[in-house]
Amino acid sequence: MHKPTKLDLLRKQLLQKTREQVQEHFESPEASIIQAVNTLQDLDSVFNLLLEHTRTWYGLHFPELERSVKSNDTYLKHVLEQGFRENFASTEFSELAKKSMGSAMKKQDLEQIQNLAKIAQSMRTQREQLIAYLEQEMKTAFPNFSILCGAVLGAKILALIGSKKRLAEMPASTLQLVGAEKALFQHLKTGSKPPKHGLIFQHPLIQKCKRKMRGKLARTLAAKLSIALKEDYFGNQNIVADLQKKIDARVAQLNQ
Amino acid sequence: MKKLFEEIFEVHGKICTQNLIPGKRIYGEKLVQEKGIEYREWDLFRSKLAGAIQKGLQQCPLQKGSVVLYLGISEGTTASHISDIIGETGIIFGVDLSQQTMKKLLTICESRTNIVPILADANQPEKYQEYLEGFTVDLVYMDVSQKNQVEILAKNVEKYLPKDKLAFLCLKAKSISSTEDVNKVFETAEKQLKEKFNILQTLDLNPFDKDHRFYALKQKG
Ligand SMILES: C[S@@+](CC[C@H](N)C(=O)[O-])C[C@H]1O[C@@H](n2cnc3c(N)ncnc32)[C@H](O)[C@@H]1O
Repeated sequence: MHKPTKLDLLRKQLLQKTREQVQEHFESPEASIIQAVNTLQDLDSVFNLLLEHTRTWYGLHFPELERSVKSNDTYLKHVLEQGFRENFASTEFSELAKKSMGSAMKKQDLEQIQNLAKIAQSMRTQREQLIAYLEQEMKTAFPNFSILCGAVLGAKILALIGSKKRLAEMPASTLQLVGAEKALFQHLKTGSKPPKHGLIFQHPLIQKCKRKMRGKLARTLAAKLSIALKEDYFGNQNIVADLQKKIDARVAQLNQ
Repeated sequence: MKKLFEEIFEVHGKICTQNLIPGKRIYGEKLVQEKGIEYREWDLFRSKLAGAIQKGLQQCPLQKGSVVLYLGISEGTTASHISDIIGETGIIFGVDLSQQTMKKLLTICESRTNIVPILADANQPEKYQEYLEGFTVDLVYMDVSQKNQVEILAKNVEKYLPKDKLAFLCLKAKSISSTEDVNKVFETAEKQLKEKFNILQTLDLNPFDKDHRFYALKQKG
């Protein structure tokens, strides 16, 4: 049992405090999400540059490896763990290494290459962490949209539009073309084919869909994502399952 | 109409509580009238406490004026019925970690003045100590989907629950381990529980909640 007056005060205080905490949480993350996804995209291009340098440089010594290992991560691992061709004896590339057409390499050269490879490799870890962060933050800020769209793709769209509010207020037809602005401008200026799709086209469901049907699916997807965005901003229900069902039905229909 | 526990009734064969705010639904539940009083049907599939009552819970310490520490209050589905039971003189301290669910709970707290929201991690009971100061908790109700559920409960009970009062725990096997055999998970958890508690009753919540057990507990000693 308790005294009502104290309880009243306590209740007011906690209601206020919790409201502020919740509000703060829902307002602030967008800025960080945008930073994170922009960083992610730059991280990827820097990684690709470094990797290209690593591959060309190390390719002087062991060009055959460069051609046979497609996976960047595996390639980097071999450069770092084996290094000199002679050390590939215990790997699946021992024959290739023996017969390699590459030139000899000094210890100092390899050191430089390995330093590069190390940086590239650590960027992969950083990338994973960024993605995990994005998934977490997107899920909180956009519980419906992030699940249906995918956290990273959703964050890319958010970054282009700038805020949760603007995303929520955007018509589905515009959402469908976000990221296609360049092509749209081109179309207006030169009369080239109008763009059919924006970033949404990167969505795995569209990538898996029959080519001819992709435009149609993009329209459905944009419509459902738009509903999800509105719910995330104006409401607080979880409507993922319902929307997902509708999207899946459309996918099945289009792939018939 | 039958009375099952204090302020918990069976109306037309359904478990119900008397609506504290007549006319208002919380989660889409049915409202029923009986002799001029409005009751809210308590959904067995949405609330584990209702499931436990249906499966034969033997004692429920809740009554008008009770003080409840609710860990993992979520959007307040179960809490809304507890709010009906304890009435305006009671109080629920509703702890949850998720801002998303708190957002929804806040709308309920506006009208149901006996639910007080606390955005905090139940792993750190000292974080809400200042609010609970001066209150004597009558029931700790815990339903958090965490690996270390038992540990969290023990920490909170030790700090806030008098020795003679009960704790209700909903244990979800899948959140302790998603790969291990369900019975093994429960076995381990129960062993852990018995270090601190006497298990008064164990209820399997099937078919209302799969792989969930509901425990009525009292501290040892
Ligand atoms: C299954 S739901 C509870 C449902 C609720 N008891 C009901 O019946 O209406 C579990 C809740 O525990 C919360 N939770 C998980 N870990 C927590 C923690 N460490 N501290 C507080 N709440 C936590 C989650 O945010 C979620 O809302």
